[in-house]
Amino acid sequence: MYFESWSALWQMGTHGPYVWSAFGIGVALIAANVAWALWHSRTVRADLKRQLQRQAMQEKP
Amino acid sequence: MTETARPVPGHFYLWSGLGLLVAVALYVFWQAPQPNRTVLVVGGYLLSVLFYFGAVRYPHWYWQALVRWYHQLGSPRHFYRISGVLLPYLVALSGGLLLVGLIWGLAFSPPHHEQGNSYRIIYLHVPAASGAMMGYMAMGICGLVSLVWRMKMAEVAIKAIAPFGATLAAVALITGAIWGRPTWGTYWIWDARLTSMLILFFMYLGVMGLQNAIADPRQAGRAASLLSLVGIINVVIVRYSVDWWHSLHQGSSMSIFGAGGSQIHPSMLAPLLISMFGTYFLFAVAVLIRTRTEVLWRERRSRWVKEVLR
Repeated sequence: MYFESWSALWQMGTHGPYVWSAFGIGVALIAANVAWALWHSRTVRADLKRQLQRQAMQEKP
Repeated sequence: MTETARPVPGHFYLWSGLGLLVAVALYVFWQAPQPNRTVLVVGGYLLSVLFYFGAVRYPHWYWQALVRWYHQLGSPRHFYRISGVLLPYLVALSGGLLLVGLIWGLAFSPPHHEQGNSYRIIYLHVPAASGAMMGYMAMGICGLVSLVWRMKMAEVAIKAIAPFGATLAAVALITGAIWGRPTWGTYWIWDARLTSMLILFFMYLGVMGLQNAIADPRQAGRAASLLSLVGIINVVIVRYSVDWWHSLHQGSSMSIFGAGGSQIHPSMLAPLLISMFGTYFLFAVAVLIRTRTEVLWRERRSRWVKEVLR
């Protein structure tokens, strides 16, 4: 590691707030986007499955 | 039945010899930097050999493979199957590359001699910005394909690319603003690079908005295709804005074809390239997830979707 300690890594000279806030916001936004895609996929699948089951119920009797 | 070896036609030696000559000449006289030159010349030679066997010796096979690939990609069912196989590998690849690249850049690479540690923002800023630009290029090509050949999957792809592209553009703008504060003394300036990047972000939002605003899905798809195609002009402006105008933003320091090569030291270039490729693969992951969802929804009345969901 380039830094001598964890606190040095956290402080990064005087630039810690800039670097860590940039990485925090950026990674959070990207992760949120992927999570949103996964959540949407799951809800669409669940909806379609429910529709299929309803159709099967109507066709049975 | 005896197998006799078919004689190799004379022109084969002629052309492969000429090709080698061209490759050697390129290698010696081209002013591009050393490692890039090696990759480009050797890769170009191999590609030309592949092209020879594909398009000249066996054009029939080549054409058939191309047509089959196009149809498989255009068929929702095949796309769903192939992308399902591909997705886990892409997730592992992008996750691994991003983890290595970002940690290496944050904790292990040396500081910049003028900017100190603030430059470490580059390891997120540049991958996000270049991912946003490449994503828009891909979206524009999909727009062309959907307008010219009416391929439905291209419309679906545009819808899948836009949200992640917009996020990457936003990340590039935000990280750039935070980086600008200690480096330039300001978060924002109406400078050619920054403004054109902001326009890129709005173009992504525009494509997303058009698809939601128009009720008729076919018209919505056409409008979004047109906007993505036209917006390619803006990507070109973003790319060359630092050369065409005086900009506070630094010029590009990585070049594949030019004589300058990379002006970044290998100890900083390696983690940067790793996180760039990690971002590209993550883009592919996000696009595949969204495309698969959209395909399931659009094809919900077909039999294969019912079998998939069962």
